[in-house]
Parts: sequence; structure tokens; C-alpha cells
Amino acid sequence: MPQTPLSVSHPAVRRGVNAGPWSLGWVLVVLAVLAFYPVVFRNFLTLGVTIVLFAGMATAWDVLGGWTGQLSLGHAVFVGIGAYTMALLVLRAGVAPWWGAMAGVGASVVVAAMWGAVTFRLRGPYFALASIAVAEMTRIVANNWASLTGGAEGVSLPSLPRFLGLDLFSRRVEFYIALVLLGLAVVAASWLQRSRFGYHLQAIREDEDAAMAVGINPTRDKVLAFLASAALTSLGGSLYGIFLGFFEPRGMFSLDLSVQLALMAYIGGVGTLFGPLVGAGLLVGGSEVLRIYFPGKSLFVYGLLIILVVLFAPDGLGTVVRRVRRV
Amino acid sequence: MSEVLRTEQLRKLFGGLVAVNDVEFAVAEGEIVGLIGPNGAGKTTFFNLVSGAMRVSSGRIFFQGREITHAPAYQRAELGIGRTFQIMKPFPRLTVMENLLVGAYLRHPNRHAAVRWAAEVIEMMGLAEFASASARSLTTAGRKRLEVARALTLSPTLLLLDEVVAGLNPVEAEGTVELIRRIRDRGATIIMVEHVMRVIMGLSDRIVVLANGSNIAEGTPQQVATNPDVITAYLGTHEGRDARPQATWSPGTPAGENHSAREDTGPTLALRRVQAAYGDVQVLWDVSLEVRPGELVALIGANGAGKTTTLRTVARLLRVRDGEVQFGTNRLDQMSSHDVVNLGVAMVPEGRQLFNQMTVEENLLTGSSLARTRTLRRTNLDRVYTLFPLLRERRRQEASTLSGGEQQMLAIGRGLMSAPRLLMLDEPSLGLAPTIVEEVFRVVQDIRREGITVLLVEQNVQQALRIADRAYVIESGRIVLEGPGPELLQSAEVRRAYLGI
Repeated sequence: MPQTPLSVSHPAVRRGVNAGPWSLGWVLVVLAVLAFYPVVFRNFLTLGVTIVLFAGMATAWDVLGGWTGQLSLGHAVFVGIGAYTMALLVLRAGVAPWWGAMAGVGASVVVAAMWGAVTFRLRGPYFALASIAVAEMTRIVANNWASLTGGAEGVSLPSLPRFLGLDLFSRRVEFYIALVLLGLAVVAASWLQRSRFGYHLQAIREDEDAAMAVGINPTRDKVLAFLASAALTSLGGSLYGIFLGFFEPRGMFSLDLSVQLALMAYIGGVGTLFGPLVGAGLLVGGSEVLRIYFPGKSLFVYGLLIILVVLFAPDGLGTVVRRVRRV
Repeated sequence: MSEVLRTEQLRKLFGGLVAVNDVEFAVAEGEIVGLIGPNGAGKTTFFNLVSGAMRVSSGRIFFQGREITHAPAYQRAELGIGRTFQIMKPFPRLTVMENLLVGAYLRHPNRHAAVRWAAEVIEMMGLAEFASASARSLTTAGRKRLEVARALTLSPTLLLLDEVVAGLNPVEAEGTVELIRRIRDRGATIIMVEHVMRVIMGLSDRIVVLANGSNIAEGTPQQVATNPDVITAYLGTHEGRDARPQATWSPGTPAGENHSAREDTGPTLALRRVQAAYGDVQVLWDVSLEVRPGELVALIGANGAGKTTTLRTVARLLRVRDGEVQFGTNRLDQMSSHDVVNLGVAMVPEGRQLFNQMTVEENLLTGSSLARTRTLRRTNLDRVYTLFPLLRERRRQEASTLSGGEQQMLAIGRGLMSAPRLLMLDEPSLGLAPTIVEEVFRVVQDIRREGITVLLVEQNVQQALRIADRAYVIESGRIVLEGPGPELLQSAEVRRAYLGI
């Protein structure tokens, strides 16, 4: 068709394309505010690290789960691979933890590529079910391959070399590393919101048949999204391993952990920039608060809260903010 | 003119059903080809094969001389085949503009250029004011437009349009027709499936007719509309002419008894200026019709004319926007659907809608679950088994194991289990072999002889008009003709309603 000169007359046409460059501005503002957390709440550093670290991993999960619409309930695999690869290289080969984390990313990407190539032929609930199966298999292997992983006895990191002169076991250092990780994940998400590749993923999420009809190769793009999601989650896993100092397959590869990441994204709002952060804050922070104020009944109240969110903000709490702003 | 698309011996099987049967088809550059055929002819399946949404069972497809038989759908889109979906598939949570941007990125990897191109398409399609609205907030007309727009963002060489006009009001339809012309003038080749005959007859350079998966005729709109094979495909066969006097199916009915002589007459069904709509799409406009006690009335019309919708408003499966539906002294439009059944109005839905995993007898019993009929279960069951001896034989069999014809009998039997005074049958002969079709029509006559009033919706127009006392012809949601069945059989109006000429 001929390219006639265009007058984009209607103002709605411009507004119709989401997220101008300024959404990146919001990302920077939020990260900058979070950077003051260790200064303001110096007594709640462990809580802060947990929130930011899980927010980062939940945002990484959301690349696949929210933006691409492929529900994974097996992301603990990458948390575990990140933690174990880093720890085992540190303990067995004397490799520095940051290089160990990079190796973990490599391992996670390889696993995701194979896993994705097989299971992305499945649509809908089958991919989710297969993801549980893969994660459980990984957990059982890690638990029984004691000569490699130390088995059920777990792994502990007694000491680590300094990173750029910083003590990796310091909660303050861990907080800022987690914040950088969260930053990476959110910037990736904001890129997905407006890039060609991001629109491909969103189109696949909305309707795979229609996506193919406009020239999108869904299997390839889903695998790519999975690789990115796995790599970011794996980085989080390495940091999580350092943060814990001691861990075992039962916790690192657990279904609980996988579900938690998914739940954080859902509670906050999948496929949004800050939804997973809001969800992580609420679930991690909320469960702390509940443990203090409702001792013994905290899980009950926690469950109630989740039901309330599902009932009154089925698209996630992040969207409530948007709705209120629109009114 | 060079050839854009060619299919050789194209075939698609669904289990044992041949949906597309050795179709040979070619389209030249710049043509608008209309693809028509009765329900279930294989039109949408043909689109799915050409666009790559489904794999072919055998045969080959060539696009611009290049074989694409096994290319995945996204590659065909890249090559220049754009399509719309009959069941619209927008990206619901993206804005209208973003919906188009997704497609625009295929030809314009640069964001600025992609936005520009999407904006151009959105203006051309008259969707600019909805650019920032989410696709799911659009009306049906808007979504249909969006389907076309999204396909256009690919700058397609070949555009497949699947019912983009059906369901639009006349003004919107006119706009879309104008748009299709403009798209062709910009150089695209178009194949369109459309039930609105006036549109397809007016737009197409050439028409291809599918029936039961096969290409039965091809030519200019004039040639096709006067082709006897096409008329038969749309209006049904002349066979079974002497079905009327035979009543071997119902041994309990005295031979030669005239229906009008019966004393138990029952109430009259009357629709007065009924308006009905699905969402924002109005389907029925001022529909008025009457079915008197003991009558067999046929309601005929093209696909999408509003026949099923009319039955649904009577059964209260659809709310009446305006107007009245009266049955005797009761206002059906103010009742719930189960109260309607309790009054003695039963509907046998199109496609039979049986409970497949349940036995024949269980299926029948579900038809008598209301208080009024539960006590009469055994009696009614016997009555149905007398009417359909075969069902008695198979009463322990799962419904899914029955043949198509038997399933239709079971569906009718289930309707009779509620001891109706008015039975509404929706396309009872659809998808059945000719001999079975005759049986179905015999049964319908038998039912009427038992004193049950019948309102019949049928695509087999010839047969339906032959057995009907009176018939109504509905076109685009409006009753356009009424008269005695046999008289309408001769009417040119009927042919016009179906074939658009």
C-alpha cells in the first residue's frame, strides 16, 4: 500500500500507545525511594532484603507469567539452580560467588531452553501442570544426588570473599544488591511494555491464534521470554543463597517457593510494572506483621487477606490504584 | 493477471467427517472472490487451512506460486496472507492502537514507523476515536472493524474476510462494504465468506459455492444464483415428495385423522413486535407471528436471519427487549424459562444438545424433570418409545453412540417428554443424510397429528414448506413474507431471501 503522508489528527491515537518514556522515570523514582529504606528502617534490614529480593524474583517470574501469560509453578527450579551453582562453585572450586552466580545464570538458561522447547507445545493449564512436575523432579534429584549437592543435609556458606570491598553477609550490602536486581527486572518489564518483542509477548498472552495470524512465532517468543525470566530468577536465587547462608533442596526447590512467587505477582497485578513489588511487600511484610499481632493465627489471617484481594481486586492491587486515579 | 492463491485437491478430515473435500480453487490478483454455502459447508475450515490455523489432511496450497502447504500460520502472515476471525479474536486487554501496533511491527520493526503505520490504518478504518480504549470495550461492530484493521496492518497481498458484515446494522454494513472496495482498490486480493447475500452478490467479482465440503459451483454472482445445484444446496431437495400421506411411524394414531378436527386445541402462540438483541447487536426487529392450535408453522430464512433467536425469545432463553410473546393468556416474555416449559412449550435445540455420557433413557427422563410432567413420566416414556421404537431398543446405550439421525430422534423425544402443547424444532434435519431427513419430516408430521402444535425452523426449505400449513420468511431479523407453505414454495421472494437476487 502507498505510504501517504500522515496527519495523526486524533489525540487518542497518541494516547493509545501505552507507556511513553516517562514510565522509565517512574521506575527510577520508585527505586530511588526504596534506596532510603536501610537508612530509615535500620532495624528491619532482614525484612527489607526479603521484600526487595522477592519483589525482584516475582518481577522476573512476571516476564513469563504476566507479560507472556504462561503460568509457571516451577520457578523455584531457577532459584535453586542459582543458589546451588553459586554455592557449589564457591565451596568445591573456590570460584568467587559473583562468577558462580553467572554460571548459575548459564545453567538456568540451558535448563529453561530444554524445558521450554518441550513444554511450550502445551497450552493453558497443561504448561502450568508440567512446570510443577519439572520442579518436583528437580527437587528429588537434588535431594538424592548427595555427592553433588550434599543432599538433604544441605549446604552452608561459612565465608565469602569481599565483593568490591563489601561484605556479602552484610544485610545492608545484600539490600542494595537486591535493589539492583529488582531494578534490572523492572526495567526489563518496562521495556516489555512498549517494545516490539514486548508486544509480541502480550499478543501471545491475549490470543495465541490471533498472534500467529499477525506473523508472531509463539513458541520461539515464549522460549525467549522463559530464558530471560529464568536468568533473572537465577540471579535472585544466588543472592537468596548468600542471604540464607545455609539451605537445603527441600526449601530451595519447593513448590511453596514457586507458588509464592506466582502469588506475589497475582496479588499485586500480573503484567504490570510494580505489581510484583506491591505483592511482595504485602505478602512478605504482611506475614511479618501478622506474626506479631496475631500469633498462632497469622496464617489464617493471611489466607483471609488473599481471599479479600481476589474478591475485590481480581486484577491485582496495583490496578486498584489505577482505578482510583481514573475516578 | 497473476495467480495469488491456488489449492490442489485440498482436503480436511475431522474424524470421519470430510469438512473440506478435494477443493480446487484459484484466485487472481485484485479479485474479490465470495465464498458461500449453507451452514457447515466448510467455508471457515477452508480459511483455516489457507491461513495455516489448521493442518491439511491432504492436498497442496500455493501462494504466489510458492508452496505453503506446511508453512506455519505466522510464516504465511509474513508472506502476506491476512485474515479475520469469524469468532472475533482481538487482544482484549491491549488498547485498539496497540492491537494494530502488534501487526504493524511485522512490516515496520522501527517503533516510530510502526506507530505511524498503525495510526494510518486506524484513521482509515475510522477507529481513531477509540485508539486508547481497550479492545474489549468495543462494541461488536467495533471489534469486527478491529479484526479487519489488524489484518490490514500486515499490508496483506491476500486478505481473508470471515463474516465481517453479518451482525452489523445497515449503516455499519454499508460502511464496511465501502471499506472492502477501498482495500481492493489499494491492491489487495480478497476472499470473503459472508452470509449477508446482498453484500456478497454486490461485492464479488466471482463466487465459489461450497456444499458439504465440495466446490459445487463457480461463476459470476448472476450465474451462481441461477445455478440449479446452488438452489438445491440452499433450499433443499425435491425428494420425499410423497412423505405426507404415510404415517407408519405412529401406530397409535388413527389413519386419515385430520389434525384440525381435534377438539383439544390449546392456546395460541403470538409474537407481537418483538425486538431482541445480543449485547448491542439487535437481531430481531418488530417480529410478529402467530401459531394457532394444531398448526404446523415453518419459519425459514437465510443463515443469521434470526430464526433461532426467535425460538429463543419464546423459550425465554433470551430476554425480549420490547414487544410481547403471548401463549394463550400467559405472557411468556415475563416468565422464567422453566415456567415456560411448565406451560407446555418445549424446544428441541439446533445441534441436538444431548447429554452424551448419559443413556438414551436418562436423556429422555431429563425432559420430564418439572413437577407437572414428573408424575406422567412412565406414560410419556411409553409414548416416546411408541413413536421411536428404535430408542426403546437402545435405551441403555450412551447417547454418544447413536447415529446422527438417532440422536435427532432422541432430542425430539426428550422434547416430547415434557408433554408439550407447542413443540419448537430448530433445524432438525441439519447434517443428516437424505433418507434420514425424510424420516425426520415424517416424525414431525406424526407429532402434529398427535395434536401438538409445531413451530419448525428449517434450512431444508422445500421439505419444510411442503409439510407446513403456513410459513413465515425472515430476512435480516424482519418478517418479510407470510403465507401457506405450498404457496411460498413457488415464490420468487423466498429465493431472493436466500440468494440475494
